[in-house]
Amino acid sequence: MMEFIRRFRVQGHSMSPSFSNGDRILVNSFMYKLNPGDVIVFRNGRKDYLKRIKKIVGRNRFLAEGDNHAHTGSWQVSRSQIKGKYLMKY
Amino acid sequence: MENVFIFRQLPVTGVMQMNFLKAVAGFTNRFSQPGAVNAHCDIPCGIYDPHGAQVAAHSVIRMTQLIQENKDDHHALARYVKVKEEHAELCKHEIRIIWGDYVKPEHAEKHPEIHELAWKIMKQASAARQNIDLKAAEELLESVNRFAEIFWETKGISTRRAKAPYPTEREMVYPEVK
Repeated sequence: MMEFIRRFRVQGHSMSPSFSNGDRILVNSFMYKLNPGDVIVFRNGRKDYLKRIKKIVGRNRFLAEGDNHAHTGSWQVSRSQIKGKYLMKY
Repeated sequence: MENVFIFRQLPVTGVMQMNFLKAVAGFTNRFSQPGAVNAHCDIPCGIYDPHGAQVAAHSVIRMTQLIQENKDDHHALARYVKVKEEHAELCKHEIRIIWGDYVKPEHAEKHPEIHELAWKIMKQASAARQNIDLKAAEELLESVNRFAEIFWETKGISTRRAKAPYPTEREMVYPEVK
């Protein structure tokens, strides 16, 4: 089951106030549909990032950014980079 | 088949499924830690400034003064309390960002008081929220001003203290930017 549901620990403040530094979250990596407003975990370089989809910019391409606009930028993310969709805190 | 029958009789709700997942995840944490997912200042922009915390601390003082001066006006009182709450929290948030994202081990080595000071600000801002206490609000401002002095020192920028042009008539730390 844990292959489909992954565990992560949030580091940083760019998703504040929705997510705080140290929050533990579960991410659905199995079957999910992505819409603007969904929070996703994606791979960029050698790191995983937690961001919210702002809009869908093309076929399997998304614009994602943090909730804390004072401390974040925007990212173009492709579907292949996405590891899963946020499910819940635990 | 019997097992399936029993399972079907169980009132498995969405909440139960979520609680089950949480329990499994919590249990799994005992054996392996979850991976880190970054929600850092992503660019990173490098734009840090304690000014926001200082203004918030001044606002807490001003709201405390106004609460003490207008105890009978319930509508105004509600607004002052709300703003005092918000700005004390904002002050904590701004300090947390600088302390968590900007302060590096070399800064702490040069200014060992920085960790204690950040912790103290969290406590003092909470005290200023919990009470109508001008002294607590003043102590908060003093700590935030000291934090600002250290912050600018880490950037090699000298500072000066001056009376802020606000009704609080308290000090503010200004960077001597040329």
